[in-house]
Amino acid sequence: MKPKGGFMFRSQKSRIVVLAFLTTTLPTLAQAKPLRLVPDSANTEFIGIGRPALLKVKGQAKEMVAAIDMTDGTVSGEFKVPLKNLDSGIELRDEHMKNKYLAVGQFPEAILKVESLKVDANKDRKTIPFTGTLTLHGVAKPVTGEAQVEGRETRYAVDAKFNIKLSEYGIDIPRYAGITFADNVDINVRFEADSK
Amino acid sequence: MRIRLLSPLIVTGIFFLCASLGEAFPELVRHGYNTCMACHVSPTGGGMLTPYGRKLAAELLTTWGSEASTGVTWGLTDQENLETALWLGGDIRGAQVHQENTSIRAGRFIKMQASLAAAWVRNAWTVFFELGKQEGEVWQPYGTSFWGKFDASENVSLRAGRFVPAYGLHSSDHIAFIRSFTGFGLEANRDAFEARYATETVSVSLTASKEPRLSGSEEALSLAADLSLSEKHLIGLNVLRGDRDGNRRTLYGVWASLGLSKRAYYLGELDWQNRDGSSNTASFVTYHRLGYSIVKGFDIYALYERLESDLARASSSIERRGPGVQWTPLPHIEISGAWTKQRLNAPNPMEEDYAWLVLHYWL
Repeated sequence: MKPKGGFMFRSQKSRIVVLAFLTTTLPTLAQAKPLRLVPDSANTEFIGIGRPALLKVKGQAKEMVAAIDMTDGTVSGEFKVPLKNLDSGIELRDEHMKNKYLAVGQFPEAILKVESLKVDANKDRKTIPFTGTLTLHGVAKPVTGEAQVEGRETRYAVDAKFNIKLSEYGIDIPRYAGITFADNVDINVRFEADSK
Repeated sequence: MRIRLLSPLIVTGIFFLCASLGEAFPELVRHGYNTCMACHVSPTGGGMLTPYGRKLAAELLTTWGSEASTGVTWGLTDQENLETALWLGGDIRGAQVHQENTSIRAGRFIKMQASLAAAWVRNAWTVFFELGKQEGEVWQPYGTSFWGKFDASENVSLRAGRFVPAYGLHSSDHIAFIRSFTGFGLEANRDAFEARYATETVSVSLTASKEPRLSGSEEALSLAADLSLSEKHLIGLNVLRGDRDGNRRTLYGVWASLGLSKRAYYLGELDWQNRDGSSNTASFVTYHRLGYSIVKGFDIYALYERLESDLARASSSIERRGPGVQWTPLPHIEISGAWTKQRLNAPNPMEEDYAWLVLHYWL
């Protein structure tokens, strides 16, 4: 006798095979899948304004170590940027910035933990809000920002922006020869990651 | 005949050399400095340095600079203490000019400038005063500059006094045709009122000015604007409308200061001028300089400039091209010069060597 409606299994053996397949694969669909940081793709920039001359000061660090996971299209991860190679284009300024203000000997890394960044594969560039925690100068503070994410099959290009206040991280406001650096600093993090 | 034709050219060259005693380094755009205000007391650049400008000179402009030696007293006194009371500065400048063609071979040393300057800066107020001497054909007291500036807000400032209005590239190339062509050459300081709006990417200056002469002085209204396309790319445009004894001129131009890399840069300017009144002429000038820093403080460059004093007459043009150097071995000391081939497209076209070496000490 044939059962009415629904999916029909021809035998007990078939039922067991399908159940076994579902029980083994369903949990893995929700499991975190690690993404790999594409070598040489990372660049972290900061931009601040020096007053009263409205002098734009920009610096960058190209090194980054990242542990990135993707779960159901949501990226989370930890991004560590070594500060010893932070470069603003002027040697003396770099020396002051790293030794006097950021104290990189004591706090060698800036660490950004991103909790949720929802991405769609095979989508054109779009802007997505994100939240995270930035640890800088030994102080961890929540940050919110926006990221432009472009997905292409297994590869994602991320361009994230957020703003911090130096004073909230216990960093003295840099002053030099009459120019005072702004408390507000824009941070821009770019990288590419893939699932290969 | 040729000597008679050339003598005015030597004088003109000297005139150009003495022109524009302001000193600015727009090529610093390659290091991300696309605003004059950080390094110069004058918001439009040139002349006296701020304490930051002094330190930056040691860091970026000089081959053997040290932070201590950038002060007025070369580090003999506590510069920071000195600067809390008054900022001091000044310039001594001289040049050797050489001209050579089939008819003449002439050289001359020119005392260009000796001046002392002081600035008092407190909160929103800046008061500046400069007194000095400059040589035209004779050593004479020169256009003293004095002005007061009030920063109404972070972005808006008002300035009144005697100063050089904002216009074009504020290049340190003293001999450049653009300086005399625009009217901001010799005795460029004018009685002026300037309203300026500036952000970190845009600045706009509107200036009403009058030449401080007893007669035949030009009254002008000028607008100068610049835009940072990025940290290392700055472009600008300028317009000036001037009246002198019923003769009107309209001057307009564009310029660019581009950092091509940490070592390479390009400076360029084009200006057109229409004169109405007794002489209805249209004229044109262009300036291009491509530079490269071999070591810190030592730049080489290629220069090309062309002046067409009457666009209706092809024979009115002068063209100049050649290599140049700019070396700042230590803070306070600058040596610059160029050796150019100068072509005069007069009725009898002629080419000659025209070279100059400028020695500059800044206090």
